[in-house]
Formats: sequence, C-alpha cells, structure tokens
Amino acid sequence: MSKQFQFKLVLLGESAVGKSSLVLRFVKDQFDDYRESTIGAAFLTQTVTLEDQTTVKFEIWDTAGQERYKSLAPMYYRNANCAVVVYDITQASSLEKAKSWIRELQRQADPSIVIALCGNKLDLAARRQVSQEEAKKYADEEGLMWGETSAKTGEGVSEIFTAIAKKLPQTAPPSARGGAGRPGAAARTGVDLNKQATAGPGQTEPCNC
Amino acid sequence: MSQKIRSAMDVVLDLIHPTEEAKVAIEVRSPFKADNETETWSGSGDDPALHRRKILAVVTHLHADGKHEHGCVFVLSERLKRVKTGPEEFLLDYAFPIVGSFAISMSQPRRTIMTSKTAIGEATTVAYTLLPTEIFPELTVTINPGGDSPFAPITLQTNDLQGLRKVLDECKRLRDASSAENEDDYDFEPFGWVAPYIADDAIPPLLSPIPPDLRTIKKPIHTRLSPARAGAPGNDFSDMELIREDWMRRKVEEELFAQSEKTILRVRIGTFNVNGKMPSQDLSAWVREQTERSASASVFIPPLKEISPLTMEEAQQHPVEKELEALDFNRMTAGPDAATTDASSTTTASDAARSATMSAGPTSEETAVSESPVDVPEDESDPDMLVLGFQELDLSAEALLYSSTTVREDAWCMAAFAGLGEKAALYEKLVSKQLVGMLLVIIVKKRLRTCFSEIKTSSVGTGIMGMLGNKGATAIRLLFTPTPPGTKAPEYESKPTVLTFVNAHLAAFDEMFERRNADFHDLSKRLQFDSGIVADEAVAPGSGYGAATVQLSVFESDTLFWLVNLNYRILLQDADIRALLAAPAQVNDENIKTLRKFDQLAFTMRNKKAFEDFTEQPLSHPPTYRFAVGVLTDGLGYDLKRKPAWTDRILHMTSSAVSVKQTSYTSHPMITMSDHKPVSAGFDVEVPVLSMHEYQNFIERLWRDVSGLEYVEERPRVRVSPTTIDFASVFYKRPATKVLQIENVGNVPCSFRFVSKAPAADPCPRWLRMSATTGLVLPGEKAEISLTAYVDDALASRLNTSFTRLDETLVLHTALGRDHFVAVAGDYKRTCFATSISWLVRLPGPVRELRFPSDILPEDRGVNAPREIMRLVNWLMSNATDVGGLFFERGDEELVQQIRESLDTGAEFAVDRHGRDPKVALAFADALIQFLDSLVEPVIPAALHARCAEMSSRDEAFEILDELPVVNVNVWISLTAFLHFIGQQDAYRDHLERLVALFTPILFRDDLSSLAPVSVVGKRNFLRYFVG
Repeated sequence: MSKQFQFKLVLLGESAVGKSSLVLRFVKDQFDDYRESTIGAAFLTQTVTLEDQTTVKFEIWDTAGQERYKSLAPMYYRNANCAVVVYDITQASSLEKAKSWIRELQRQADPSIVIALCGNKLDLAARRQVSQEEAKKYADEEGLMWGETSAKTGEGVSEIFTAIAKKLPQTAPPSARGGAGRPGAAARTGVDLNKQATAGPGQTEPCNC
Repeated sequence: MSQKIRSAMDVVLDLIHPTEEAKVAIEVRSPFKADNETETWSGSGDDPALHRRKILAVVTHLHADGKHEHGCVFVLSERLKRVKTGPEEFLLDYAFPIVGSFAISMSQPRRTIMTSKTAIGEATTVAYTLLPTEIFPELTVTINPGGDSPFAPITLQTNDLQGLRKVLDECKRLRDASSAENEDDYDFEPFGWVAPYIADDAIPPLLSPIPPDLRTIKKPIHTRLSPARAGAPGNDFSDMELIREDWMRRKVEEELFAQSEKTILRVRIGTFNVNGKMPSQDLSAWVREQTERSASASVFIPPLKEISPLTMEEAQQHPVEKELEALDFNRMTAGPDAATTDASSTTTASDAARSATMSAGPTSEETAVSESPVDVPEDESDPDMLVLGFQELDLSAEALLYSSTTVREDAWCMAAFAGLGEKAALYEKLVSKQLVGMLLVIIVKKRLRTCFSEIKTSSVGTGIMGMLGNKGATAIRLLFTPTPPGTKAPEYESKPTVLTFVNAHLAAFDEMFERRNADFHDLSKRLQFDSGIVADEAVAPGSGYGAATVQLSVFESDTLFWLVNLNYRILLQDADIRALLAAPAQVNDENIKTLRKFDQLAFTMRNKKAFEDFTEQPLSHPPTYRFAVGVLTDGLGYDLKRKPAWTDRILHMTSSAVSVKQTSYTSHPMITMSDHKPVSAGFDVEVPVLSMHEYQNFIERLWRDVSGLEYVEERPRVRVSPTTIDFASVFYKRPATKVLQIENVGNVPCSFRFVSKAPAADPCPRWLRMSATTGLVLPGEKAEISLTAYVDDALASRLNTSFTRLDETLVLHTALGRDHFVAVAGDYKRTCFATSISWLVRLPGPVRELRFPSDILPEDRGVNAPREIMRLVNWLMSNATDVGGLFFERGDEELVQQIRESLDTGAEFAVDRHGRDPKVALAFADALIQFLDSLVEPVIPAALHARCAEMSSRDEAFEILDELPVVNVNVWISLTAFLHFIGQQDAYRDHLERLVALFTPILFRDDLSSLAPVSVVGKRNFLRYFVG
C-alpha cells in the first residue's frame, strides 16, 4: 500500500475573491454562481493521489474573508501546513490584501508553512487588472508557489492543489488530528484528478458548506 | 376497529428519513403455514388481514453527489402492543441491499383457491390490499439477499399484483445500476444510509432503566464535550452523541413531562444521632409534620416508658409486640381528640407494632391492607414516605464485630410509629438497612405500598482501618411507580422514578475536616447496589469469573437524598460561636446567617471539595450538637468542651426529570435524650404520571429522527440569524437579551455547539450568558438561543477602570459541518458601583463622563472622599432619619437603579418627585448597602481586620484609624456617625445591635476562604465603639 499523508490547509484572502468557490470546485467539482459570502469557516476534506501513488488528504478550512472576522483567522491558520492565499485578477486591491495576509502568515504562522498565491477568476481575463508578471514576480521574491485558476471553469484548480501536495514535506509525519473521518464511509483510495478536471460543471445543487 | 389504518406507503414514509425515497410499498403476509399466528386467524374474530400487518417496500437513497442512487428492500411488521390505542407501529425486520447478487422472484402457488372471477392478468382492479384474501389470487414473493448476507432467503405472500410488479421493476432497475457502477466512482459507503435503520445498538439512551449519574448530568454540557475550538475540531462523533442525548432529555422534559399529569410524593426525612441511647421520649415532633397541636402537646406528654439498655435481655426474651402493648398509648395522643380516638389508638398501636416487627417482605402485607381497611383519616400534610436515619444506634464494642439482634432497630421503629400517634395505622415499615450504629428505615403509607419496588440496600464501613462500621453509610434505592389516577388497568404500567437515600456518618472532630471530605468521596465510590442485571462484556470487559452483575452507584438515581451526621463544624472560634448563639432574639437571624457562612460544609461545597452540586436549604435552626447531661454546659445547654455545630444535615441532588421542593428543614430541641438533636426535612417530590408505553413511544419517535446523525453523508446546513448582535448600551446588573435563531435549511438533522477561541476557555465571553451552548435542530426547524448581556460585580470592577467596548465573535460549530460566526457587541456604561474608594476619589467628574481610563486625576489631586457615598449619606441624613426599617427592608429595585443612575451621571436624584414616600428612603438605604457591598475592597482593608477585632477600648479603636488611608477614614467616620445618629432615633433604639450585625460584614468583608477567620464578635465590637 502506498503512503498516506494528511495536511491542514487554510484558505485566506479578501472577501469575494472566490475562496469558497475554489474549494467547492476542488472538493465537489461544482460551481455556484450566486454564493452567499462566508460568515464563518467551512471544514472539508479532499484527497489527492500523486503519480507515485502517495495519497495526500487535505483538511481544508475555508475562512471568512470579511475584515470583520479577521481576528479569528489565526485560530484557523494555527498549525496549518499550507495556505492558499487567493486574490481576484480583476481587482488590483485584492492582491494588496493577499500580500498583507502573506505577511501575517510569514510572521505568525508555523515557519514551515507552504504558501501558494492564487489568482482566481481566470475566466474573466478580459477584465484583468493584475498581470501574471506582476504576481509571479512578487511570488518569486517571497518564495511562494503561484498559479491562476478559474473556479467557474475549473481551469488550474486541481493543478494548484496537486502542486501543493507535491511540495509538502512527505518525510515528516503530518500533523495528526483525531476525530476526523466518518465511521460509515469506506476508506478511500484516490481521486482521479484528470477526470474531475475535465468533467463539466456538476448539477447546481446548493452547496452545503 | 376504531383506530385509523394508515396505508402501507404512509407507514413507510413515517419511518424513513427525508433523504430517502419510498418507491413502492405493498401489504404482505407471512405464509400461513409457517406462521404461528394461525391461531388468532380463526379464533379472535378480528380481520386476519389486519393481524400483524407486514409491509414490503423499496426504499432508495440518492447520494449527496446527486448521481448515485442505491436501494434496499425493507420488510416491516406491525409491533404487538400492550394497549390498543394510538396509531399502530411498525418495526423494520429486514433491510436487504439491492446489489448484484440480490434476487427477488414472484410465483403463484397452486393451492390458491380462486373465489372470484378476477384473473391474474386483470389484477389491475386490485384497489387496496386490506380486503379479504379469498377474493384475490395469492402471490408468493421470495427474496434472496444473496452474497455475503447473514440472512437466509425469506418468503412472503401478497395479493397486490400490481404493487409487486412495481417492486420487481424497481429492484431490477436498482440492481442493474448497482452492477454497472465502479466502486471508484464514489468515496462513500453505498449503503451507509441504511445503518441507522438497522443498527443493533440503536437503543435510545433514555430508555435505559438506569438513570444517568447525577454528578455527570449536573455538569454543564459544554464541559463534557470533546475539547474543540475554532480551527481545531474536537471529536464530532462523540459530541453528537452527548448533544443528542441532552437534546432528547430536554424534549422529554419540555414536551412530555411538562404536559403530563403529576403526582406529589411527600417525603419526610429525619436524621438522628442517638448516642447509643434507647428511645425514652416521644418522637412525634420529629416524625410528624409540625402542627400546632402536636407541637404544644409534646411539651407536656410524659416520656415513653424507658427501655433501658439494662433490660435488653428482657426485651430479647419477650416478643416486641408485647413490650409495645405495655406502653400506654393513650397518653401519647393527648389533646382534644384523645378521648374520641381512644379505641382506635390501641388497635392502631398493635397494627404498628406488627408492621414494625415484620421484615420488608415485599408482598406479605399487601392482602392485609385490603382486608382491614384503615379508618384513620389522612391529612394533606401526612407524609407518604418517612425516611429515618439513625447514627450511633449501638455504641457497644461487640456491635462493631457482630451484630445479631434487631432489638434496637425494633425499639426505634416502635418509637417512630408511636410518635406517629393515631396516624401510625396508615403506615407500615417498607425496608431497613443497618450497619453497626447506622440504621436507615423507610416507612410508607400502606395504601402506597405497591408503588414501591425493586428495593435494594447497601452499606459501607469507613471507620477503623477504613473498613469497620463505626463510621460509614447505609443506603436504600427503590423505584416509585405512581398509580395513574382513575386507572386500574393491569396492563397500564407507569414510568417509575428512582429514589435513593443514603444515611452516612462521617469522621468526627474539628480537625478531621479533610478526612470527612475523603469519607464522602470514599462512600460515593463504594456505596453500590447490585442491579441483578448480568453485565455483558461491553459493560464490564473481562470481569472475571461467573456472571458479574452491573453495579449501580447511589448517584445513578433520579433523586438522591443524603441524611448525614456529617460532623462538619463551624470555623469560627468557640467563644465567637457561643456569643453569636446567645445574642438577643432581634439579631438571631443575622447571627445564624453569619454562622452559616463559616460552616465547614458550606466552605466545602463552595470550594467543591465534597458534596458538589448537592442542594441544602439554608439552615435556620441553631446548631444541633453537642448537648449533654452531667457535663458543664453554657446557658443554651451546649457542652462547653465541644464547639456547637450543625453536624446533622439533610441534602439532596435531583435530575431535571423530577422536581423536588423542600417544605421544611428544622431541628427538634425538645427531644433531649441524645447529645444531638434530631433534624427533619420535608420534601415534595413531584414526578410525572405517564405510561411507560407513552414514554417509550415518545422517545422512539424522537430517536427515529436523530439516531442516524453520525451516518449522514450530506453535510448539515443551517442558517444563523442575525449574524451581528448589538446590545447597544450595557448597564451594570441590568440584563439585556437578544435571540439568535439557528434554522436547519438542509436535509439532515444538525447538532451544534459553540466553541471557544482558546484552549480551555468558555465558548462565550464573561459578559454574555447563553440559554444553551449546544443543541440539535431537525430539518425545517428552528432552534432559538437567548443571549443575555449581563455585567456582574466582578466584571464591572474590571470594566469600570478599563475600556468599555464589548466586542466578541461567537463561533458556532455544526457537527460535520462548518463554523458560523456571530458578532456580538455592546457599549458598557461605567458605574460607581464595584469600584474602589481610592479610584472614585480620583475621578475628574461623574464616572459616566470618564472617556479613557487614563483620564483619572493623579493620586495627590483626588478629593477627600467619594462624592457618591457622601451624596447618599447626605440624602439619608436630610430626608430619612424618621423612617423606620432603614437597611432592614429591601428597597424597590427600580428606585435603587434610578438612584445609581443619578450617582453615575452626576444628575440630581430624580426620585425626589416621589415626595416623602418612605419607600424612597428605603431605596436610598438599600443603594448605600449595595454600593458598600460592591466595593472591590471593603472600607476597612482586610489586612487590618484581625487587629481591629482585638481592640478593647474606644480609644484604641480610634487610634487604629490612623493606619487607614485618609479617604477610608473619611468614609468610615461619616458612615458611623450617620449610623450612630440613626441608632439614637426612637425607631432604632432597640435595633442598634441589628444595625451593627448588618453593617459588620459589609464594612469588614468576611474572608470566606480562610480556615481561621477573624472573630466576628471582635469586628462587631470595633464597629460598636463608633456607633454605640
């Protein structure tokens, strides 16, 4: 049997940049145009299988982006192994906000945290305000992973999570956390990311997270 | 048949969860030959089709991914009921997953007799299946669960051809779909959703005959959940179990118990350390409710003929009954009724004697009750149950080693019955349990005898070597099953209530304080009853040889009483205690209250060292120990060598399923035969009267909705509103409440809990109180939680001198779901209450105008006394010196609040418009008391208390004032001058001592954490030098 790892991942970023949509696409391969903004934090899990058959289980905390709840963010990124900081490529100000999250993480979070900067809403590239060069340059300077995604079309979503999974230190034991998993659920062996990525948007059943 | 018959489909829809769909449901039967119901088939005359209905249904579940559907064949059968009322109920017999190896087939047995012309092919005319079977063709359906199923194939019969065809079609469709799919297509258990329907352990916890441990359920639920906080979920599964159980318990209380009839069991409890004596006095005061007649009668009734220990031998030789007959019972019933009740009293007495000598044989007397109807009238106040605990029944050395006779027990039981007077005929002894000197006896009304069952006893010695029975406890546990009013139906079975009584005798002597606490914990652990239920491995893994039985703790009860010779003493010095007890009547209440504060049991309970979560009604009677004959005593009869103490106590602990109201708690000083006084307490134990059947149904219905919580694969969804709650202005001790709604907008039940933001922190801030910190909400329903902003003294003292913005975010965690944030905010308004004198004098103006904590004046620029105290004293001096009852009577809370508001804002007193209404003066006096009481540090700083208490003259007392800060001296002088002035008024001339007693603990706050407190008498003397 191949190796299995478990990591805590937190999503941060300004309100309305599409954090929850990104998670919904990654976990359920769905997209919902009219999402209420997140007041709270959603907890979801998704497993990624790498080429060497290693499975990486993400415990994802999708946090509220609103400034009002900023003081709660440390509760959620505490002990996180990785963070996806999201900005909206059509809003220059959202990159500034992302930068301030990154500074906070570099200051406050676990020093070994893997941070990915993610430019979302690639489907709206026509209204782009943040150039790829600018974001990439910043990410390189700060030693971050970087990618662009569209939660709406699914483009780039699985790639960015898979890239994080590969980058995470797979020698050290992952942070253990009791109580996860469901008794009734069968042990899961893997998810075919390609299949997910190519599948069309799922039924627009209201998201329950 | 009067009951409504639901269609098969309705029955199935009632059973299944909203996440499932019933595709088809038909009526079926067991094949006749194989069915042992054949007898009822011909005999009962009922329509056989209605007998043990069975239903076959295809139930499907569309998984949360919206793509995969799995189905099962359900077979339900009607449950046999004891009572034929209410809707019929069905149990799920089988749930067969429709997978590749599953098979279902239909055949028409040849033996079917066609009595109608309806051909099989034309069976479309079958409208409803509850028709006589002869008319329609009988079809046999065989289900083979296949594969690795533990079940053998089953066969059923039906007449519903059309329905059966649909069943077969659905099964085929689902089986084909199941065979075609690849397991990698989904990451869930395809039949996980079936688990809640068939789980073996799915017995709702509330149906256990053993009530939960009182010590556990008394703890707030959030302290029992797994440690979780924002961003770090705990164990959602174990939490769900607890939350669900708590939710069900509340539902049962609010929706079932609250609606049901109640019955009150009057329980009178007595505890008496008899110091090895035999009964020699009338016990009526102790065993009977105090009526005027019996109270006055007891004064002149001569003592019973004494059974001295010297005549023990004689007592053993003669039947006790004879001994009793020798007693003159006529003298016992002195009073106006005595003459008329003479005859009956005598028969009554021998009745009583017979009962007293009988052991607690469970059934032997039941017939006797009906044979000889009792003609003694019952009074409302007569207890239904008399529970008497004796300690030091036998002090002889041999009693420790072997105790072979029940002579002493019999003698005391007789004395108790004798004390009941003519009422004794109503009662009989139910059970008793003795261990050396400790005896617990339960006497009940004869007519209620059959309501008590499953009587169990237990005893534990904690005395010499931690084993012997000179100290320890005896306990009795029993079930009380109320008889439903107006029902005599034998099949009616009421829900019982578990009552437990513990008679304990703990370690003696002042210094054995810790030992008593240890004794309590030892007894709590070791006192157990044998339930007689054989423990299975799950309950007691590896429990050794033979069949171990489940042991029941005394705390596994609906209500638990401890009647104890606790031996707890009073922490004050001996001289202080005696002086306080000997004080004049006008300060008696105040003094008892003072002594109570220093009682070791109160101290222990405050510090949660023992008797945690027990309730004891505040004592109002004087200490019950130690009185003695032939030793030096003080004026009140207390032995000079022992500190007077409340050694004899009655406490209780009750679950929310039962309501216990204490009606009395007192000692009986006229009973003087022992060195202790007997103590009694009356309780009204209110229990719901409802049938076990009704109770079970209610719980099973609840359980059906929530049993599968941990198996749901769909995430719970709730809508929380509002997400921002602003309390606006929050004032000191003025509660403000807002409601939070949690609506379940998903398809599965959702259990939720508020989690904290830091480890081991409370889920909500100090200034907020929540009506619940956990809950459960069913799909489509709403849960409401009230949030109350409340600032008490401790919090106000912090907020007054710091920033006043209250701003928090509550984190509501839904099990297996997301966290929701609720922002709560408010603006605290500063008050001069709950501050310190030294801070108040540095305020640049009224406290409410202080914007930043740093705005206060430097220390050397403060005023010489707080304006607020001076304003209150000044008002009282100018307006209230002629009003009686100042400080003794509580003021109107609303007026006090207005006065406080004026002090805080610096505005004129608005209450002046009430003119010279004395209630305004009382409110001002109360405001002054409350103000002084709320000060962070009392007017006389704690460090000086001991020295103040030692001052022996007025001059010395004035000298010590030099050591106080100047502002404190100013406050002290103006307050005492005012009290002095008040004390000179006619209305107060006789109440000066009461004023002193009242103000001492306010001006010198008592240190309740000290094991060697400063003398109360000394502190009062000090105050008296100024006001006297």
